[in-house]
Amino acid sequence: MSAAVLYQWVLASLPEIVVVTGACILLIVGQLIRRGQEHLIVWAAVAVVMIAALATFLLAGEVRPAYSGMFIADRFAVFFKFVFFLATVLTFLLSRKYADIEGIGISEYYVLLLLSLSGMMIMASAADLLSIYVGLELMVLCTYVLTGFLRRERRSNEAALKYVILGAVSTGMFLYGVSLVYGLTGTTALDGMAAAVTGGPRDPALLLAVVFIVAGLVFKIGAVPFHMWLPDVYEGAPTTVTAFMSVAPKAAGFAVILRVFLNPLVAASDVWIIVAAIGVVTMALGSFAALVQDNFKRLLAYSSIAHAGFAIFGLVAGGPAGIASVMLYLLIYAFMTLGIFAVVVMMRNGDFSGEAIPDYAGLAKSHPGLAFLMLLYLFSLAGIPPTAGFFAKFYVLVALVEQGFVALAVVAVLLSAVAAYFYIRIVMVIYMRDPDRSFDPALTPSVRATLALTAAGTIGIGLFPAWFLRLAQTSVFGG
Amino acid sequence: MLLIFLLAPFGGSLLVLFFPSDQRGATAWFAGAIAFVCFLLAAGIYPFVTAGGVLRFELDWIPELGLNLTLRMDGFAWLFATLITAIGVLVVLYARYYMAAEDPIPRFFALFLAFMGSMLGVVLSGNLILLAVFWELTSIVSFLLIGYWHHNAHARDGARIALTMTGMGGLSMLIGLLLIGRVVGSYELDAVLASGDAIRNDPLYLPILILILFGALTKSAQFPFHFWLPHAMAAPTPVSAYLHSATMVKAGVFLLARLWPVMAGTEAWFWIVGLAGLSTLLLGAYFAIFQQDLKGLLAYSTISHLGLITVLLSLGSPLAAVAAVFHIVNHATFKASLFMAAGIIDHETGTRDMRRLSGLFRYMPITATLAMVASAAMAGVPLLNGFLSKEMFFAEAIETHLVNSLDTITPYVATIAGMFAVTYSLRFIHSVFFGAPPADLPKRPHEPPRWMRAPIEFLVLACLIVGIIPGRTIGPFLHTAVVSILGDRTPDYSLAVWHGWNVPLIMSFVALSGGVGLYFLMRSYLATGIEGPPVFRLLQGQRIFERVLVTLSWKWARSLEQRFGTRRLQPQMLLLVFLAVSAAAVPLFRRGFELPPLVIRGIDPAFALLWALGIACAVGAAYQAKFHRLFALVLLGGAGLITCITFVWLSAPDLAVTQLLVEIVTTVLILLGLRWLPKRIEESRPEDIPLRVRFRRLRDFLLALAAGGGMSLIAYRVMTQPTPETIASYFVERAYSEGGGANVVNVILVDFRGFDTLGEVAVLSIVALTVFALLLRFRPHPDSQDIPLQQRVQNAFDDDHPDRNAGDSIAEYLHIPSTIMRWMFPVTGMLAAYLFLRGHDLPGGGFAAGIAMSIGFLLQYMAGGTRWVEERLRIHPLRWMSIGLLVAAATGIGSWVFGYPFLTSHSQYATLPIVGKVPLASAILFDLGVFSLVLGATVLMLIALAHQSVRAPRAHARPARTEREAAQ
Repeated sequence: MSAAVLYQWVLASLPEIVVVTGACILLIVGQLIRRGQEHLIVWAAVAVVMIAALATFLLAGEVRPAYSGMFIADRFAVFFKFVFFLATVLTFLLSRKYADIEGIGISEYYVLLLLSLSGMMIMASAADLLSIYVGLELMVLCTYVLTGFLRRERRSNEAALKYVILGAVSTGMFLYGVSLVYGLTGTTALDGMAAAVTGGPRDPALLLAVVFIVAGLVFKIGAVPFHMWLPDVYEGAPTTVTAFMSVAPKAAGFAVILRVFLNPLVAASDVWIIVAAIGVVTMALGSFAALVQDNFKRLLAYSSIAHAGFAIFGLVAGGPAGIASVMLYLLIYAFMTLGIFAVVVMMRNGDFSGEAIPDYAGLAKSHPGLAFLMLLYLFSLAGIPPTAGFFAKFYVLVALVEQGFVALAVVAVLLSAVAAYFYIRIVMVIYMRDPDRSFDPALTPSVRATLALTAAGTIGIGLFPAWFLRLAQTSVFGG
Repeated sequence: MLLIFLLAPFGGSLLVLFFPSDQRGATAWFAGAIAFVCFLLAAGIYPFVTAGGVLRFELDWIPELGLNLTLRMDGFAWLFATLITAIGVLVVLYARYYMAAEDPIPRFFALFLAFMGSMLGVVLSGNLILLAVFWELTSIVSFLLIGYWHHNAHARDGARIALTMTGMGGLSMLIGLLLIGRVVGSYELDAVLASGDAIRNDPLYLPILILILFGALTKSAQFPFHFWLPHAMAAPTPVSAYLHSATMVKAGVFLLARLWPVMAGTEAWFWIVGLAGLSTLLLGAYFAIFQQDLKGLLAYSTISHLGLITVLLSLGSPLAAVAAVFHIVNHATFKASLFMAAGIIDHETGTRDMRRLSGLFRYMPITATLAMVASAAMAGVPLLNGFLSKEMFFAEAIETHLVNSLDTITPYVATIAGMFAVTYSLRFIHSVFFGAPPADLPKRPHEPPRWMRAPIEFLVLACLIVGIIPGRTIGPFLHTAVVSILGDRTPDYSLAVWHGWNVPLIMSFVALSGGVGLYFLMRSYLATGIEGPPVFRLLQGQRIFERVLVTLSWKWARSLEQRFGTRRLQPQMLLLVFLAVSAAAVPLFRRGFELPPLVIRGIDPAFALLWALGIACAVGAAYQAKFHRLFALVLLGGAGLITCITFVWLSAPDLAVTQLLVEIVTTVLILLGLRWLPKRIEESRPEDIPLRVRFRRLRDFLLALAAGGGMSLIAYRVMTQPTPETIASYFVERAYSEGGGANVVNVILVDFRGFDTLGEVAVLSIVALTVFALLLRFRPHPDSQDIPLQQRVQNAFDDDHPDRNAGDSIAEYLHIPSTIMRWMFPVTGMLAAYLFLRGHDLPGGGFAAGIAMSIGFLLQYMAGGTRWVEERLRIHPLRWMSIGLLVAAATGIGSWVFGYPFLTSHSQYATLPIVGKVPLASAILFDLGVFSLVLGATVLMLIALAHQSVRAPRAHARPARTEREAAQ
C-alpha cells in the first residue's frame, strides 16, 4: 500500500472521515461548553455536515473505488449522501428548541446523529457485504440510543429496548446470509458475488443466503413482515429523532437494497416475486392500519410503512428507470416527511404534546399559514398533484407500466387512494373543525428555516420535477 | 395565449386570498373580472378555431417522461372553455348576492377561481398526464368547495364522499392513461387521437377501457357511482350550480367524448358505457321524482341527464356523438339556471323542502316564470333547447347500432325516462310555485335583488333562443366542436325544431303526456311526504358505500392492526423468527436441498460422550434459564468447558487456553451480576398451567427447534463445502519466518494484525469504561437489595446462639476455600507471567496472561470480599489500562524511530537468568501493553460489580450519614 493509494482512498472517503472526526471532536468539546451555550454545538454540528457536503460535492466528479473494493464513491452514493445531509441538517435545526423542551439538549445527542450519519454514508458507498454491515451497525446502534433518549419516559425506553432486540435479530439474519454467501462463493464483494454466480447451476443455499440478506435489509426499511417495531419506535422516540429515522435510515436501507438488488445474483433468483408481494402487503398494511390511528407519530409510522411499500414497487420495476424512480421517491419523501414532522415537533410546547390528531382541530383558524403548510405536506404525502408527492408516485407508476406490471400499478394506485384518505382526514380536522384550544407552536427561526426549505422542496419539485428527475437518472449506477 | 386560461384563474385565486373579508363587492368584482377576461379570450379565439385550427402551447416540463405542459385548444375544447367561463361569470355574479355576510368570502372566490382554472386545465390539456393532474385538482378543489360550510356535518360528509369517489376514479384513470401512453408511445393527445386502431386492437384495451371508464363514470356520477352527487348538495348553491351543470360532472363525459374517436365503437365500450348510461338515465329520473329537497331533485335529474349523454356516447355512431355534445351544452344552460332558481328560493324562504314550499308564484312571479321555462327545457318541451337534443336522442335510440338486447331496449328505456323527466319537472314547478300560500316559512318570501336574478334571465333566454332558432345560434359553435371530435366522420345533421311527423316526435309526445299523467296519478303518494323512492329507499348506494368504507377503514383496519401491529415484544419476536424460518424453508424445499452425504469416520466413544455431555449441558441451561438462573449458569459453564476440551482434542491448545480463561472470567462476572437481578419468577405448579399456555409453550418450543435445526443444517451444509482459498495458510507459513514466533495466533495478534489488535484493545477499554459508567448509575431492584436468604439464615443462627457474635457465621463461611484462594494469588500471578513469556512460541500470550491475572483478582474479591481486598491491595485498573494502551501505541511508534512502518516487529532470543531462553520480539512489548490493558479492563468491570455490594448498604445508611454531616 503506497502513500499515493492511501491518499486516493482517503480522498474517496473524505466526507465520511470529516463526519466521524467532527463527531469525535464535538464529543470532547461538548463537555467543555458552558451551560446556556448549547446552541454552539448545534451550529458546529451543522458546520460539520456542511463541510462533509462540500467535500462530497467537490469529489462527485468521478467514481472512486477505495479500500480494496470495499468502498466506492460514485454518483449513486453522492445522491443518497445528499439526502442524508438534508435530513441531518434539518433534524439539527428542528432539535434546537425541542431538545430544550425535552431536556435532551446535550452534545451526545448531536454526536450520535452525526455518527449515525457517517454509518449511513458508509452504507451508501459500500460495495461489499461486510462494509455494508459495518455502516449498518454504526447507524442502527446510534438510532437505538437516540430512540431511548428520553430517559425519563417509559415509552421511549420501551421502544429502544424493543428496537435493540428486534434489530439485533434482523442483523443476525443479515450476517447469516453474508456468512453463507462467503461460505459458498468465497467472497463478500458485491462484484465478486456476481462473478461467482454467473455460469454453473445455482445453489439453493445461495438463494437462502439472499433471502436472509433481504430479510435483514427489509427490516431496516420497515417493510412487512418486519414492520412491527416501527410504530412503537416512532411513537416512543423523541419526535426529532423520529423525523430523522423516518427519512435517513430508510433511505440508507434503500440505498443498500438497490445496490444489492442490482446484483445479478439477486436478479437471477426470481426474488422480485417475493419483493412484489412484500410491496403489496406492506402498502396495504401501512395504509389500512394508519386509518385507525389517533396518534400523529404512530400514524406517520404507518404512513412511512406504506411509502416504503410504494418505493418497493419501483424496486420491482427494476432497470435504470425503476432505480431512478426509487431514488426520486426517497428524495421527495425526505422533503415532505421532514416538513410534516417539523410541524409536529414545533407543536410540542408547554403542555401540548402535539401527538394526538384531534388536538389539531381548527388549527387553520388561528395559524392559517402553518395549516396551509401542513395541507401542503399532507397532500404531497397523499400524492396529490401538483405537489412533489404526486411525481414521486407517478414516476414509480411509469416505471411499473413500462415494465408491464399493470396489475401492480393498479394495486399501488388503489392502495394509495386508501392512504390519501387518512391524510385527508387530518386536513379535515385542521380545516373543518372548530378549535377547542389555543395553539402556541415553538416557531423559532431555525424551525422556520426548516419549514421554508421543506415547503420549497415539496412545491418546487412538484412544479419543476425535470431537473430532479434528471439528477436521479444520472445518479443511477450501471444505467 | 392559452396559458392565460390557466394563469389568470390560479393567479387570481391566490390574489383573492389577500382581500379583506369584508370587501364582498370588490372580491366578487375581481373574481368576475377574471372569469370575464377568460371568456372574452375564448370568444376572441373563436374565429381561429372555427376555421379548423388547433391552438397549441407547449412548454417542456419533464421531457424525459414525455410529460410536457401541452395546452391544446380545438373546437371541442373551445366549446367547453366557453361554457366554463361564461357560466363562471354568471355564477360569480349570482354568488355575490347569495353568500351571506358572515361567510369567508375571499376563501370562496379563491376556491372558485382555482376550480375554474383546474377545469379549464382539464379541457385544454394536450397531454393525457396533464389532464389527469388537473382532473385530480378538480377533485380536490371541489372537495374544499363542497365542504365550504364545514360547520355543517352534512357538508363535511358530502365533501369526503365526493373526494373519495372522484379521487379514486381519477387515480385509476391515471393508470389507464399511462397504459394508453405505453400503447401509443406518447402521452400527447394529438398522437393518441391519431392511433385509435392501435389502441382498440391492443391486448391491453380492456384494462385500459375499464380503468378510464372508472374514472369518467365516477366523475360523471354514473350508476353505480352516482351517490356522491346528491350528498354534494350540501355545498352552497352557487357551487352546485357551477359544479353540477357545466363543470365537475361534465368532466367525465368530456373525457368520454375526448377519447371517443379512439376508444368507442367496440362491443366492450357499448356494453359497459351503455349499460351504465341507461341504468343511470332511468334510475336517476325515477329517484328524482321522489325527492323532497329541491336541490336533491335537481341532483338526481343531473345524474339522469348525464346518463343520457353517456348513452349517446356509448352508441358509437357519429350522429349520437353530435347529440351528446349538444345535450352537454343544453343541460349546462338549463340546469345552471334551475340551480340558481332553487338557490333563490332557498335564500328568500329559508327552506328547500318541497313539503313546506307552495304557492310562491304570487310572491316571486318573475323567478317563478324563469324557473318554469327552465324546467320545461329540462322536461323536453318543444321550442326549448332541451327538446332538440332529446329529439336527437330519441332518433338515435331507435336506430340499430349493434344487434343485441341492450340496443333493443334502449328506445323503451329512453321513453320511460323521458316520462319520468316530465314528471319531476312538473312536480318541481307545481309543488313550489302553485297551490296554497306557504304556511310557516322561516322568512317571508319576495323577489331577489335585480342582479341576483340576472344570470337566470340570461340563461333562460339562451334556452329559448336556442330552442327556437337552433341553426342560427348554437349551430356554428356546435359544428366547430363536433368537427374537432369526429373529423371527416362528421355526419350531416340538421338542427331544426320541426322534422315532420316521425317516431321520435311520437316518443316525445308519449313521454310528455305520460309524464303529466304519471304526475297526477302519483300526487297523492307524493303528498305523503316520504323521502326517497319506494323500494329503492331501502337500498341506498351511499349507505352501502358508507358501510363498505366503515368495514374497510375501521373494522378491517382495526383487526389488521390488532393482528399484525401488536405492541408486545414476544409476539413480534415470534413472528420474526417464524418468518425467518419459513422464508428459509420455502426456497430450499422448492429448489430441492440436498445435503452432502453424512460421512461417519471412526467416532471416538469418549469424544462422543463428551459431546453428549456438552449438549445435555446446553439444553439444560436453556431449560433452566427462566426459573433457575444459577443452575443455568453452571450448566453453561459446563458447556463452555466441553468446548475447551474439544479445542484441545482437535489440537488447538492456544484456543483452548484462551477459551478456558474467558469462560472463567465471564462465568464469574455473570455470577457476581446475578446477585443484583430482580427476584426470579416462581413457577406455578405444573397442574395449574392452563392448556393455552402449554400450547403456546409447545409452539414456541417447536419454533425454536425448527430455527435451531435449520441453523445446524446450514452450518453443516457450509462446512461440508470445500473451503475457498483463505488467508490462513499464508499466516501459518510465515508466522515463524517473518514474525519470529511459533504460536501463529499470537503472532497474528501482535505482529501481522497488530494494528487490528491495537484497535481491538482500545475497544475493550472503552467497553470496560462503559460497563463501569453504566453500573455506577445502576440501582438494584428493591427485591435484591436485602441481605440474601442464606446470609439471613446465618445471621439468625448467630443471634440464636448467645456464644456467637453477629457476623461470625458469615466470616467463617467457606473459610478453608477462601484461605486457599488467598494463597493462590501469587500462583496465578506466576501462571500469568508464564503464559505471557511463552506466548510467542507456545500457547499463551498477553491476552491469555491478562485474563489469567484478572482471575487472580477475581478470586481475591470472592474469597475476601470487596473491602478486605481493597484494604490490602492497591488496585488501579484505570491506570493499568492507560499504561497498556500507551505501551502498545508506543511500541508501534517505536518502529517509526527505526525507519520502519508502524508496528513492525523485530525478533530475537535472549537468555535471562533462571528463566532461561526467552523469545524477545519487539512485539513482546506490544504484548505487554495488551496484557496490562486486558487486566485493567477485566478488573474494572469486576470492581464495578463488586462495588454494588458496598454501595447498596450505603444507600440505606445515607440518612444516618447526613445526620452526622449535619452534626458537624
